[in-house]
Amino acid sequence: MTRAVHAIFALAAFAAAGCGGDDGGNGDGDGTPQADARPPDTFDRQAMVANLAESVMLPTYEAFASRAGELGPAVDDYCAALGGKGEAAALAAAQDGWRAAMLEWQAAEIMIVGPAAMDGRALRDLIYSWPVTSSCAVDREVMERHLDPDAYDIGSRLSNRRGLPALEYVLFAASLEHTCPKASPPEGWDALAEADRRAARCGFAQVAAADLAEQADAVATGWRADGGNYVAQLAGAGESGSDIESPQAAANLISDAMFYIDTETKDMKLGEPAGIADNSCGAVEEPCADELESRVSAHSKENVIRNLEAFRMLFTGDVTGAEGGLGFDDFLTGLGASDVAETMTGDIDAAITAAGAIPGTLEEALAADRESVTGAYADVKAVTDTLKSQFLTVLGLDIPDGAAGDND
Amino acid sequence: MRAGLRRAETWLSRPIDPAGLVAFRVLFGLLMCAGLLRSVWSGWVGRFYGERQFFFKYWGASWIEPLPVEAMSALYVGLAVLALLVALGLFYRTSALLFFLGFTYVELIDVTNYLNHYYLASLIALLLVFLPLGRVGSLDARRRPGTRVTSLPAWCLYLLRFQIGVVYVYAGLAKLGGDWLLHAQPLNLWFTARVGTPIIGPMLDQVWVAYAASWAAFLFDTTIVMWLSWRRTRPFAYALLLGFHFLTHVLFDIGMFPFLMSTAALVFFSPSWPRPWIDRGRRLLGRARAEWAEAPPPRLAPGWRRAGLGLAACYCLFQALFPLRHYFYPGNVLWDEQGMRWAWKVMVREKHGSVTYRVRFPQSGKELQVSPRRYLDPRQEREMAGQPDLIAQLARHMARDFERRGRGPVEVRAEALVSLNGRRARPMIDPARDLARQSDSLAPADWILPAPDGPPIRLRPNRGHDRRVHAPEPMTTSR
Repeated sequence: MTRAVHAIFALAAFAAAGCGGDDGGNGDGDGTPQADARPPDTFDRQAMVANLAESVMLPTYEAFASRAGELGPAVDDYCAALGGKGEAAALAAAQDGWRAAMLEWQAAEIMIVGPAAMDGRALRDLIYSWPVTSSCAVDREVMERHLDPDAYDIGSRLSNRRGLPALEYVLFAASLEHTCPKASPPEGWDALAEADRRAARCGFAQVAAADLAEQADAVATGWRADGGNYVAQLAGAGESGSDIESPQAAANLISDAMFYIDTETKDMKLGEPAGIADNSCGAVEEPCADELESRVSAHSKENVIRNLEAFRMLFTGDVTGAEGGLGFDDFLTGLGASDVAETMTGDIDAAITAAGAIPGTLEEALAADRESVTGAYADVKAVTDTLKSQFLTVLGLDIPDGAAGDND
Repeated sequence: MRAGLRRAETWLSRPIDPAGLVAFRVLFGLLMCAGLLRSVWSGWVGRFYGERQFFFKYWGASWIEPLPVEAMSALYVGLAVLALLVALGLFYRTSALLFFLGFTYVELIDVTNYLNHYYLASLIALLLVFLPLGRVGSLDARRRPGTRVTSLPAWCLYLLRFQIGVVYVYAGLAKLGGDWLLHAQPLNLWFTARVGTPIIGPMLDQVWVAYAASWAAFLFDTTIVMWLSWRRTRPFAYALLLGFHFLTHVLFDIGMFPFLMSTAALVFFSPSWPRPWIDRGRRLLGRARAEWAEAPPPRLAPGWRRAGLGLAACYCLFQALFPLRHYFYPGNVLWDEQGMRWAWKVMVREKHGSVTYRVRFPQSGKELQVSPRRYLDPRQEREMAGQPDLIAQLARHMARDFERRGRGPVEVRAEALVSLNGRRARPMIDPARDLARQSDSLAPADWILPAPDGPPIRLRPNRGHDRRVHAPEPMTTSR
């Protein structure tokens, strides 16, 4: 018996020695992952989380807060210029301000972790409730504020009447007609002259812009060290003072947020308008412009590109124009899966290039060059296919909300 | 032959101390009660039954539907009460039968809820229905002293030992494969993700640890029944078992499994193992020591007894053979999953996949891509993505759904890229096959593509994981 036990343990030791001696080199030429030759002891996932929090996410939220803060004065200038010579230029400046804020927010959309994600993403929705938006609801808000500006309190309104979508509508809508059913127009709207309608929308835009700046500041403050210090929560995951149990759990929170490019960017922003995915028009392989994200401002393509750029920042840990930050690519490489890191980086770059190559606006491209959109969709899908499979497996992460319940 | 059967019958029918079996009944009932209440408390009942719009059906059980979520919550609470009644031995047989039916119903509602330990709980509940464990150490025995017995037939104990033994042995045999033994996967993947675990965490990403754990788990599962069955090694084996299940509890989210197995393994002890505790308890209560009588328990008529023993033998034969059915399917069971369920293949693979359905309208020749998310919750999607039969089942549901919405008939194909134990993602389903036309059956599925034949990934240790690096310039930490 003793001899048999010894034999079994000798066999185990032999197998461990024979199979576990090297740190990789198990590629087989058919695509099996190859561990690269970098020495171990070079990667720290807590440092990665800290880098993403400090260098990527906090700066993104601060940049958004800054842009949102600048939008208010631009809208004020526009309202002041109404009816005057400088109206068009002031409107263009306000629209530029919205675009700048929107671009920053589209980066933040990939990073909905922490303050913006709390309470069922309440703050996120107050800033950007898409896809739950309603231009008719905004029309009604415009009129309510116009009729009684002193009593109007945007803070008590639902999220689909506030934030960036509401501002997009009132700043970019070319028509001065309301978008509600004819049978139930916003009270008093039809009686207003065109100039009054402009003034009414502008007045609402001022209130909405101030509200947006307030919410943007609330999110950024939640991240800052002198505020809610969520950076420390993430960066100190697993340590006392952080509610996040480990750096691995913190990495999972961030990767959950990154799945935005699968559900929203790929499917909703590209797939549905292009008729690749099921859509509200019932269109198959034909455009469905109603599904465009920022149709009124013709900003849908830029949103997609910014989502992908922000995804790249989180994946690589590098902010635009700088390299060297720790990100998920380093995490993969650190674990010996540099091929997955390289594949994903290449696929992300290809997707950014493909989205950037879409000619004109997304709506124009859908009408004239749908293949450019389907091509971008396919390139984003290449990223999400790896994200949902090997990325999760190698890094020991789970899909968003996928961990409820037990396993065995 | 006849003499042998008679001897076996006599041996199996001999009276034994009921204390161990009563303890098993009490502990099992309490565990199940706690587990069910935990499910309600955690909100899983609402998530698993109230928020889902589609439920994956088991082959042959497609008629099973969930109740409204409020009724499901009530059912869970009711099952917890029944489990408590089983523990107390009150209305024992009826409680055990209702518990078995209710618990099995709950588990059969959605395949993505399948867990090996739920299956085990159902089987134990089924066995309890037939074991006369309510006639001693129970409120029933107090209520109806005429039914009380002072011993139980030995076959009750052996049947439970067999059932628990099957779980361990097949869980061990499931590890008898290259990924587990030669590449230490998926433990290497799982351990590396758990380096934050207190005390042992820092060593978990070492490859040798994964190898040692893989081999230890294999040897543990395949031999623990032997060590538990041998009186001289039993205490050490049980201590080892407690350590093993404690580790699995710490490292993995496997709910009740470690507790269930730690409790169930007590059946390998002498049937009198709880006596010292019972005696101590009685002394504290000022009561006299309780003895068990070796008098034979009330016996059934020989015909009934033989029929019962025959039934038990058939049950054992089924339990011994059914987990082996994957040998009748070509291919790697970890990949094609044919023969995976009900076979005690506990935590032997890590799979993540990306599945996109391509719905084609034959009349126009046009095609839509449909995300499974449209029909599934995240947990269902995660489970489905690695299980071909579920991918096909959703395809058939999708076809019916499009038809119901007046958009059919349609063809449904699946683009399923799946990573097994860290290998590069490979197509798992033949993308040319219309899954809407593939019927649900137990026959080998020729639309499942072969498993990747290379070795799985091996992760490299990262000893810096728990060191907090305060980099002065975070953007240039290292590259």
